[in-house]
Amino acid sequence: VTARRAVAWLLAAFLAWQALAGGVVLSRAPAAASLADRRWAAGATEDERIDAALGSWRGLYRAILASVPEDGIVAVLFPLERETFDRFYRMTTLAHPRRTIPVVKPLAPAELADAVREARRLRRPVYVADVQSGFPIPPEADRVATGDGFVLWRVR
Amino acid sequence: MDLAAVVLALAAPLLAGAAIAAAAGLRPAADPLAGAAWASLAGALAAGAVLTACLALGLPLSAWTVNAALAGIAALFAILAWRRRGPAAAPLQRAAAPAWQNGIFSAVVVLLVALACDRMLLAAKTPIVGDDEAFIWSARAKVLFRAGTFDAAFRGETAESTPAAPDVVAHKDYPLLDSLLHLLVFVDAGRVTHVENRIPIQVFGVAAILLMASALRRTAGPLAGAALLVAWQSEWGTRDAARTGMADGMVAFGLAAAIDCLLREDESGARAWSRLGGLALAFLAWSKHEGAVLAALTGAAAVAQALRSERGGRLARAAAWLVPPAAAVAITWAINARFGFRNDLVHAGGPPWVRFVEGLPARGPAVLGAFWREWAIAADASRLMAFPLVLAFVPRLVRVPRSVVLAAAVVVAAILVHLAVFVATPNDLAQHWETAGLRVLGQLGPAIALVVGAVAGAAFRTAWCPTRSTRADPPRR
Repeated sequence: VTARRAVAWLLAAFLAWQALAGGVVLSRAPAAASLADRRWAAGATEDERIDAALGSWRGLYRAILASVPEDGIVAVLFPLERETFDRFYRMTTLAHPRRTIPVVKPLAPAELADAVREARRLRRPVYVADVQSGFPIPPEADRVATGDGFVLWRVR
Repeated sequence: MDLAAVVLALAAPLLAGAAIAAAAGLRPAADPLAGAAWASLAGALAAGAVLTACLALGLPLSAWTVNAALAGIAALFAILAWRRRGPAAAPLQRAAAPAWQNGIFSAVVVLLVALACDRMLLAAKTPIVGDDEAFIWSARAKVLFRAGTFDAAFRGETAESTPAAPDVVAHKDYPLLDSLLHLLVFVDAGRVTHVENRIPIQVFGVAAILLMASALRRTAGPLAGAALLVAWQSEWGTRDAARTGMADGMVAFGLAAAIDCLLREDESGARAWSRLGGLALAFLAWSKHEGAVLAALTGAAAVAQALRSERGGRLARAAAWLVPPAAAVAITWAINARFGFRNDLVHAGGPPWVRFVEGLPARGPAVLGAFWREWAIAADASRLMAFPLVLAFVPRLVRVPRSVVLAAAVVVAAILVHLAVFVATPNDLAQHWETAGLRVLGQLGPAIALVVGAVAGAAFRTAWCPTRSTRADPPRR
């Protein structure tokens, strides 16, 4: 009986300790965001949320939505950094069903010609989006949209 | 926000789920906390079944079709519940406790539900653009919504045809339920949404609080129950799961519901708990592959309990536990077999058990070390709950019912299976552990808290009220 009582007291103390520690963790939650944040979260439109998530890539996303048909494919040229990588995948998710291909290094002229040939074989509208990459653009491309930090081309 | 779609996507399954739970023998009026939780679990299964039927049969994926079917299910099961009307799985005893203790308990539950809602609200700042919720769960829902049938979706879109383009859907072999709930919002909204579709999954975070509140008040009493609720809700995995539309929170909820049924069935003998337990296992198995493993472990424990029971209807009880999860697993296997989807962990390299044996000497210590450092003794990750769990196996110190020992064995086996998966992983161990280790262990959080609650309740009763029975109700059929 003594051992069982000791176990019961130990368990009670353990639960009180963990509840207290847990309570401290949970008590920080309300301060993790401001009231303005919560108001925004409750009232923002879907477009505002998407713009906030994409940051500087929101213009490109809007241009793709406006110019690229749903069966289109967009090769997105961008210098590989943590932030651009993250934004590429965010935009890819939102732009579905349009497909995107990341291009993170410049292609040599022969590789570029191969890529264009390959793209034509897909028989789908193919676009190139240049996000301040400085990479070469296929000569058989027409500019369809420009915006803050990007140019969108359609490959003929 | 498309609030109408969200309300419809929550209300229609909830109505169907309430009727299904009532037909299984649950009386929500007698235990509203558990009633609401069970309605959400059973309702998700109903919605999943309706959408699966539409996709398989090529029926139109319209809000009218889906909600009419859910209303039909609600009506059908309401009639079944009305015809059954016999002794239902009434809640077991609510420990007679002073009003101030019940007051504290109620306040804690309200506070935790409010915090969960706050997490949902803050998560809504960001659309679904990252992690598994974007690349697995909602991505597959988008593909299904666009295609309208499994055939068109999986043959056309998930089979990658554009070289170098990232896959639209990652891990195509994963069970479907989570994606089907995303899809339900798309169907109700009539378009692809980017925020609202995670809400039906986040709601399981609230349902889990209600289920746990009902279970812990019953087993541990209001004060210890409130303490355990706070401790569990402060775990990293629990807080993280509540923010996203990923299936990890569903696995945690489903496992807790199944374990609760295991304990209640042993205590009351009511068959309703084996029926509801079967639904919980189906929910688990249809949520994720690790959920199927947890369903197999819990199902084995439930069958062992049913077959050793002195009550009647052993085989019927065992069947009630096993048939629904078997159906869920069969759906997943059928889809994967038809479209050739393979699991990266199972089908990479040699057989997993060979990889486990070969990897054990090199990877075993690393996995155990990470488990010990980052989960077992890391209060923020586990609340150290693995330690008191051990008491379930020491009858000289705490005398617990057999079902609690079984439940504890399920949890320990689940931990070992999770660790074994990391030993046998074909991927880079460090990266696999970093992306999934704590997340999958976090799925066990509520089940562990439930077992610890049952152990604590038994310890308190035997130490301070040794004459009081641990059984609440006389056995019922």
